[in-house]
Amino acid sequence: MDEDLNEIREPGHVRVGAVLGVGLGTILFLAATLGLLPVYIRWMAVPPNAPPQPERFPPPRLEADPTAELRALRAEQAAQLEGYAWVDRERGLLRIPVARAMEILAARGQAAYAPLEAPSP
Amino acid sequence: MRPWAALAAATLALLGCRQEMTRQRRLNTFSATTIWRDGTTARPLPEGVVARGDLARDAIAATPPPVDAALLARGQERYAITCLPCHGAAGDGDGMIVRRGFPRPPSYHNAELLAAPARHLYDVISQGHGVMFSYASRVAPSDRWAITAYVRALQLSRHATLADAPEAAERLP
Ligand code: HEC
Repeated sequence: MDEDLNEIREPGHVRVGAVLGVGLGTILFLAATLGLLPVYIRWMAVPPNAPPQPERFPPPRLEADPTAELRALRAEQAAQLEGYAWVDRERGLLRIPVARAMEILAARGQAAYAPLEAPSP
Repeated sequence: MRPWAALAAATLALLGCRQEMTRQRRLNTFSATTIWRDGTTARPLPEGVVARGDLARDAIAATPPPVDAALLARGQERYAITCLPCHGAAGDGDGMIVRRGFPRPPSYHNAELLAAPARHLYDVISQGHGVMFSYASRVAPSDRWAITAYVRALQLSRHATLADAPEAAERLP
């Protein structure tokens, strides 16, 4: 059996330097990455990796209870039609119940349509 | 062989059909045409046409009915039905529709509307004003005067004097 003298053979020894170099290089690269990552994050202004916090958002602009809201509005407005009060004491102007105002107007006849104030020039 | 012949005859008969009843020579609503000078198929009323009842409505519009308790009560009822949702019970312009986003009408108690003639209020109901649409189709002419009188009552309820309502003297703070 002939031996082929040109056959490429695996070298008999290991190149320890290269193996160690790759290993140490990897460790160094990892350490440098971990060390520089915070700097990089601060530089990019990336927020820290915290869980999202609950935030307040405005309530929906819906009527949760239309019946109650209409009832409240009606009560509020019905109250505005009642009672006596001064509107403008200097000019002698009063607030009177609307029912009373209707009586007064009914007594005025055709003059009831007349404007209550003279038009301003 | 007979059924095939029948089927063929039926198919031929169907092919011969024409949809003449649905395809007619006519003008579509709102379409353009050259038949009339104004170029549209919509025809305006001929000049001088009077709709049935127009004269009676015009007569009511021209002469306001005398104000009495019955007219004001009618106005109060009609106001609550037609105007209150926007203008509010006291006429401040804060009705429910406004709370939901409709533009806010002016208060009846501002100087301009206190000085406005009754005819103006009547015309606002008939023709609308700005973003307020016309109520001509919903409020009859006689009711427009009733509402106008009631709006005056609303205004007077914030604009009375001791001479108008002497009983107020004891009830004022
Ligand atoms: C859909 C809501 C709505 C209703 C219903 C409504 N209005 Fe108005 N009204 C308005 C708004 C909005 C304005 C203000 C319009 C503007 O200035 O563009 C207005 C304006 C007016 C004005 C003031 C006009 C002026 O000269 O400034 C009068 C008077 C008035 N309304 C009377 C009535 C009466 C009477 C009724 C009932 C028949 C009525 N409105 C019903 C919304 C309404």
